[in-house]
Amino acid sequence: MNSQVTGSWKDERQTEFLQYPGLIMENPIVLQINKGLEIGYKRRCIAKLNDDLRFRRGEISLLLGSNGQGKTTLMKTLSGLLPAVAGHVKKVRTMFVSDEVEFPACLTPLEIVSCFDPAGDYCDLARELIDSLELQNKCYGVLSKGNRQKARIVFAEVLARVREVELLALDEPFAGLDFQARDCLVKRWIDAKNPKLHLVVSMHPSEIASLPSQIILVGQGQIDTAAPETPWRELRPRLQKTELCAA
Amino acid sequence: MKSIFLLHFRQLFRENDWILPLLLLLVASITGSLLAPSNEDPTLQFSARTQTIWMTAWLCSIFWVGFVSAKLGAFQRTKGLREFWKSVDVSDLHYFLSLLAIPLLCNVLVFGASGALTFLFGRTPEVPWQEWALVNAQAVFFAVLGQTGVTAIILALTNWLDVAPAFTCGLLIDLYGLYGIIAVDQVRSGKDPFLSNGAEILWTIGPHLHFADFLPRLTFGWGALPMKPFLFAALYLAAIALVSLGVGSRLWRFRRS
Repeated sequence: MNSQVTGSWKDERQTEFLQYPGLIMENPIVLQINKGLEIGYKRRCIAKLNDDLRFRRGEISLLLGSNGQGKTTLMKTLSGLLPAVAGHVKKVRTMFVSDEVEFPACLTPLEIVSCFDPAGDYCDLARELIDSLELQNKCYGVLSKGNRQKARIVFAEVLARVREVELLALDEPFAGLDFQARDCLVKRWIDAKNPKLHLVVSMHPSEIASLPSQIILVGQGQIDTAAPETPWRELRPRLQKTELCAA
Repeated sequence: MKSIFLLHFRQLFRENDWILPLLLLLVASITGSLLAPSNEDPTLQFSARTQTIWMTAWLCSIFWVGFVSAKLGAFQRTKGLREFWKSVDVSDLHYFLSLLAIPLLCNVLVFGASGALTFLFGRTPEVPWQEWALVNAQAVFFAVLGQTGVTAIILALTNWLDVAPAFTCGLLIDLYGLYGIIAVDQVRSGKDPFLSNGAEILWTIGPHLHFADFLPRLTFGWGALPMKPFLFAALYLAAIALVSLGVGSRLWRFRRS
């Protein structure tokens, strides 16, 4: 299975993902975090940043790590929901979408979108996303787990534009999605990227679908970066839990 | 924030709970007159109808609107929406006020509907239309103002408590402010100095929500409240509402999970 993942990842590796021609920004860096940042809960550090991090507009960061290593904690810290145990995170316009957030069960995705975007500026975008993800416009409460996840992504895309978000953090957006939906999302994020924001996507390592601009590894109490083209076989040992490595 | 208000107002409308208070108010306006011995005095049917409509409105406000507040607040916490809105930099106060606008609107609709129904079907023939309209408008205004603080407290408590305990706290505040404090007044004039001093303190603290209840004034045809006492009572109820909003906004502070 891992070899399959490695293969598909390698096949899709293209350098144009790293730079976006035509994208002119006065300040392309949304957020910069210096090494030494410690994340955790109630002053208990669970991971420490070993490299400087830069989040640029129009790019995608992939946050990889095993369960319970601190991916969500890092995203919450970046979004200002949690204070850093040590170090500083500058406040920028962020949005954190957990894979557990729920919306009113009696409303359809389009109705929820119309509440997020009362002016209707992004109604067409929402319809296009709903169509391309094959999301049924039924009441949110009766949608399957995968369809709810698709709906959350649609809401995030719309609300991020309405509120002019600069750093959008999606926590495990591929959880429960079928492969067509994953492919559709990856293609969309790469082909029709939003030049105004940086997208941070956390996922389980086995879910890697395409090449990002930056890879952030969270594991063994450390947060490191890896070059986007690093092969999976090199990343894997760095993500494995200590006790598993010893075993 | 408009989005939060729209999302949950639409949710409330779609859940169809509002049908129950609407039906109850309509039934009260139809059957209210049957409760009076109208064969003895035909005019009694109007005051009986008025009393039934307003009692139903108060019950709807205490139980239905209170439950709406509790459910709305608990939904934010249990479904992860607090974190969601916090991450997009919605301030706690904006969030609180956006949600509070929904039960407030429900109270306006409940008491407004009861005021309109009483105005149309509860007027005793000898009472002039203008005076009847004024006393009903005062009743609606006071009832909404009186319930503002209670709904704010219920909503804010859901940041810490679940639906049932938060709702129960609101219910107890309502029962105490509307009826319990009248019992405190009786103890105040008792012979035991310890009890009467304690009752005096309780009486001073309040909240005197019974000022917001115009039921006797409407039922017994006492007419509209003169301007001076109206202003004093309105100021008192507004102060109670403001204090409750202050306490509520403190209780509604974002709690890190």
